[in-house]
Amino acid sequence: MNRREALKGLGLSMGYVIAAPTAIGVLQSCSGKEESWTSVFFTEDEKHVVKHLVDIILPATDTPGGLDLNVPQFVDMMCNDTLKESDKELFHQGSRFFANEYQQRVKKDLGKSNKEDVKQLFSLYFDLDQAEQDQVKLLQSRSVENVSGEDMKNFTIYKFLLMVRSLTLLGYFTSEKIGKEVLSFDPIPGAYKACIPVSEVGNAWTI
Amino acid sequence: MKAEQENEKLTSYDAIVIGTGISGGWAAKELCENGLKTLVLERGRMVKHIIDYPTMYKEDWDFKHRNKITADQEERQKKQSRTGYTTEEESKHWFVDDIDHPYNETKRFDWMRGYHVGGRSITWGRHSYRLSEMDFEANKKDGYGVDWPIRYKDIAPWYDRVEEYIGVCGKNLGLAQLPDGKLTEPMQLNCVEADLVDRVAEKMDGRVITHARIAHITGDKIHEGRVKCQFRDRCIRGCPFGGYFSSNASTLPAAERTGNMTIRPNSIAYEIVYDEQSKKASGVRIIDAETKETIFFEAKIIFCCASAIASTAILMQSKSDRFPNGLGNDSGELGHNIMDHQLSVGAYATVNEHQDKYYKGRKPAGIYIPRFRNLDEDSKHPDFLRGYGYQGSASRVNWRRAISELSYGEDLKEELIKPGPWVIGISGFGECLPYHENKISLNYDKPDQWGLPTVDFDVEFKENEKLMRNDIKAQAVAMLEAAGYDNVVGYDHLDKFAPGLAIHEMGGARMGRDPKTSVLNKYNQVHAVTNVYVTDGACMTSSACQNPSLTYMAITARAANYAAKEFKKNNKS
Repeated sequence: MNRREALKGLGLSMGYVIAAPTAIGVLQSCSGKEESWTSVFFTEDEKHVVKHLVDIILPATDTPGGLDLNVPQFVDMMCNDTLKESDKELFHQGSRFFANEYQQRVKKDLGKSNKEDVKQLFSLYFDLDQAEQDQVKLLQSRSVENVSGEDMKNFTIYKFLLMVRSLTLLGYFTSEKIGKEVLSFDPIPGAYKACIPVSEVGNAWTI
Repeated sequence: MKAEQENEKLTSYDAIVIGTGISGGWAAKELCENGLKTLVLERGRMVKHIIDYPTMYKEDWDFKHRNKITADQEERQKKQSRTGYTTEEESKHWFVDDIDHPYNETKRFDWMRGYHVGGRSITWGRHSYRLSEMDFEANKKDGYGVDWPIRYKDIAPWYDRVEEYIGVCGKNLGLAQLPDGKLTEPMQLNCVEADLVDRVAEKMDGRVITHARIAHITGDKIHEGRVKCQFRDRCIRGCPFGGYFSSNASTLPAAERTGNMTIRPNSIAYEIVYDEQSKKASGVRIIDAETKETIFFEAKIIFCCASAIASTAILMQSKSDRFPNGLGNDSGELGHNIMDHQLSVGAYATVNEHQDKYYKGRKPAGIYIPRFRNLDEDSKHPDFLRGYGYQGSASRVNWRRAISELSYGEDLKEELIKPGPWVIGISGFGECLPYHENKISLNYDKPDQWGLPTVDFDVEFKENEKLMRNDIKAQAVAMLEAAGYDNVVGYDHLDKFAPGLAIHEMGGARMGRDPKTSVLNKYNQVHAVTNVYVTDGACMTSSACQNPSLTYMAITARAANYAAKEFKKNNKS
C-alpha cells in the first residue's frame, strides 16, 4: 500500500467521524440580541456593566468586536461553569465594590451606566505605568486569606475586572468567526515548514 | 478488537496479558504473533482506534468551555488535574475519576492514569530515547540500588525492532550516553531552535542539542493502518491518522490480525493465583466491572503490564501460603524502590530576532539536550550523581500572551491578531536514585468500590535530586544566555512538584541478579515463579533520565519472545 492509498482509505473512516454531531458552542447557538438572553450567573448590574467592559476591552473596528460575538453571554456561562464557589463569591464582591466606586464618582447606579462613564472608571484601573502594573499583579498573585482589609477592595475589583478581561479574550479569540475569518486557519497542516516569511501567513495561526 | 463470543466461554489460554498500554500492547502483539492464544485483560472500557477518539477533530469553538475544565469536573479529577494540562475538555476522558478510583498519600504522589484500552499510550509524551551502557552500569558503579541483570547489548536488538515498528524520527549522533537508533528523518528545527543548537555548541565547548526523537511517522516507510504525522499537534486526543504510535493504532490491531487475541475490557485483574503443586502461577482472577462477577482465567504464561504501580499492587495482593507478603516477594523488595523523573525546573526567554519569520504546521516536539553531566571524569559534578536531559522548543506566542496583562482596546486587538514574539523554553528531566524506603503499600481499611485494597504512596525526592535541580536550573539559564536571548528566567517549582508528576513512575518489582534483593530476573520473570513476567515500568532497576516508554517496549518484546520460545520448547517435550 503506498501513501496515497493509505490516505484514501483513512479518508473513508474519517468521514464517518466527521459526520457525527459535534458540540455546538454557545456563541453559535445564540444569534439574538444581547437583551434576549438570561444570565445564569451575573446579577442584573453585572450583566449590564459586562456588556460595556467587553466593548471597552475588544471594541469593533474593521474586525468584529466582542459584542458582535456575544462574548458577554460566554463570560456569564464560563463564570458559572468553571469558577469555584469561592472565586464566584470574589467576582460578585468585586463587582459590588466596582459599583460603589461608580456610584461615588459618577453619582449613578452601575445598572444604568453608559459606556463612556464605565470607560473612565476602567481606565483608572488599567492605564498604569509598569511599576503600578507590577504591583497589581503582585497583589493578584496572593490568595484571598493573605489580603488585608485595606487591600481587599482593590483586590476584588481587579479579580472581577481581570476575570472579565481574560474570559473576553478567550471567548473572542477561540470563536469560530475569528478563528476562521480573521486568524490564519490550518486545522490539518499535513507538512511542516520550519522557517518561512511571516508575509506568507499573514495574521497569527488560529492554533 | 472484538471480544469474541465463542472465546468468552473459554477460560484457559496459553497466555494472559494484564493491561493494554504501551507494554501490554507489545506483549499482546509478540505473544499472538508467536502463535500463543492470548487473553488480554483491560480494567477499563474499550477504545477503538479512530472511532473512540471523541475530540480528535474538534476546534476550540466546538468545545462548550473552549477546552477549559468545569468546576464540577475538577472536583471529580482533583488529583488528575495536578498536571495542569491533562483534564481539559479535549482529554479529560483519558484520565480517571479520582472519586471513583481513590488512592492514599502518606506523602503527595501524583498518580496520573487512564482506565481504558490503550491506557497512557494514547496520551504519552512520545519522546523515545534509548538507555545507554552507562545507565545499565550506574547502580553497580555508585552502589545505589542493585545491579541491572542486563547490559545494553542485551536490549539493543530489541530497541532496533521496536523503533522500526513504531516509527521514531530523529538524528543519530553517535553519543555514548544516547545510543543511535533506527531513526527516520527528523522534524526540522525552526530558526530559533537552530540558532540555539549552533550557539550553545560554539559557546559551551561543543555541548550537543538535537532534534527531539519522537514516535511519529516521518519518511516513506509503510506502517500498516497508519500514515505520516500531519502536524496537528493534537496528539493527546488520539490521532485519526495514527501519526504517532499507540497500542490502539498499532500493536493491538497487529495482535488482532493474528486471530490469536481475545481482548476483554472491563476486567479488573486482582490476583495472580499460585499453584503449590507446579510452583507456578495457574491463572488470573478478575472482577467483571459491569456484571460484578468474579472469574478465573487459566494460563500457562502471565504478563503483568498493568503499569508500574498497578502491576506491583496486583503482585502484592496475590497472597498465598508460599507468598504471604505478595507473589514473588521473597526479597521484601516488592513495592519498594519507586522512582519517577523530576521536572518543573528549567528556563525560558524571549527572542528578539527573526521577527519576520514564522512556520507552517504545529510541530509536536522541538529539541532534546542529551545528558552532559557525570559521563566521565571530565564531566563529573561535585554535588550529585547521575544526570539529566532537557526537552524544549521555540515558537511564536499567540493571543494568550496577553491573558495576564492589563492592556485593552483597539490596539490590543490589532496586536493580538498578529504573531507574537518568539519565546524559547527548556525544561529538565532528572534521574532519581532508587531508594528502598520509597515505597507503596496496600491499605485494606480503605477498600475501593470493588472491595480491593487501595494503594498508599510513601515516596519522596531526596538530597541528590535536590542538588541536581540546582544544576538543571543554572545550566538552563547558562545555555539561553549563551545564545544571547533576552529576559532569561530560570525556575524551579519544587514547591508545586511531587513524584509522579513526570508520569514516569517506575520500580516496585525491580529486575536484579540476586533473588534475595530483587523481584525479577534478567528475562523479567518473577525469580521464584517463572511463568509470571513483569515488563512494564515496575521492572526498572534504575530510572536513568530518558523518557522510559521505549525501554518498556523493548524489554517487553524481549521477554515475550523469550516466553514464547520457552512455551514452544515445553510443549514439544
